[in-house]
Amino acid sequence: MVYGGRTPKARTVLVYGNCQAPYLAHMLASLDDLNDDYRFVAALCYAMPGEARAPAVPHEDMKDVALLLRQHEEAQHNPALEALTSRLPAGCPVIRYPSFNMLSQWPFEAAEPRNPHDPTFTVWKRYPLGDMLGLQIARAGLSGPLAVAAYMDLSQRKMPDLQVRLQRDIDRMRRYDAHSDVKLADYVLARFREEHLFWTSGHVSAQAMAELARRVAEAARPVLGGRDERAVACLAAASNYGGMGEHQNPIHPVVAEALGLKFWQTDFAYRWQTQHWTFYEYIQRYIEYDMNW
Amino acid sequence: MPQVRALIASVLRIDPAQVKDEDTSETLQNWDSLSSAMLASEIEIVHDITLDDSEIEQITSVLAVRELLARHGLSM
Repeated sequence: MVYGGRTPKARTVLVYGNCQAPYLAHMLASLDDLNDDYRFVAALCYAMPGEARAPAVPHEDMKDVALLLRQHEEAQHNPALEALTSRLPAGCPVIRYPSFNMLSQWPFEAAEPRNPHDPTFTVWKRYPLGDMLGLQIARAGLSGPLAVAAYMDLSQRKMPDLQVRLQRDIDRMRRYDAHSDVKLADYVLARFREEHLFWTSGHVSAQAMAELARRVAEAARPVLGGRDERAVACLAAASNYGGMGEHQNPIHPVVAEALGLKFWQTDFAYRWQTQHWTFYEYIQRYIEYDMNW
Repeated sequence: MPQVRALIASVLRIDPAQVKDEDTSETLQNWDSLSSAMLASEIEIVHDITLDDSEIEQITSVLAVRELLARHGLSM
């Protein structure tokens, strides 16, 4: 996961973090007025499914590290970070940035336990985002419109206090900000009702990622150089990749109303791999674990 | 207790066999405040309760989850 670097002599900027890190590295590599030739190397903080440890950064990408962009994490000892930092040159500057997270838009999210044989989706499942009430309806053997009706009924009865859930998100964002050189809470809180920023609890739109990249570039300017006006233009031009991942987790209408999500519409079609489904179409397919697409 | 460990494993996306009764957020990788919030969410939805912030902050071990459930007169 290496982005940018025009020549073999390009210096390395390590971008450490969760699945947001490669997208951040990709965006930062679009900056074309930095003070040197840099390659942006994403280093994941976790192991991929089926792997015992996080992928190691290749030796050739650790030769001339100019900067570590480190996503804030609460764990005191992450072997992935320790393995990375042990290979850094002495005095390597470090800039901390927060991750995007918002759980309140999907109050019923849970691990997806179903794992049918599905050759089309080998690493990540066809429905990787579980819904605890959807699973309950599926276990009851319901399908079709009846399943959707049962889900809507159950979910309205089970709906938690979403203002409490939102406040937890806000508190967590501010805690992350307090540990980071780059801040994000103000941006998220100003925008999340107007724009479809969060596609899942941890995946965001290209615009949100561009804003994180702009703020990281600003914090890194004493090391990497560049100008803000140019960064804005470069990041806008690099935002046409469509956003993080292939899934936009559909948002429950009661959640949208309670949180005041102005972008939400009944017939809004969410991206789901190759498909586009409304919330209702999605939840029916999810309950049935529909594989006919 | 096995179901508590299974819940924790599912939230942390790890094999349930990896979770021991004595485990804590220090011994299990990936267990951070985000994981605790997700654990709290599942407990709240399943049992129709709302936990307060201090209770969620204390969800840092298998034993703490068990004690939390016991305080609310719940079991898993």
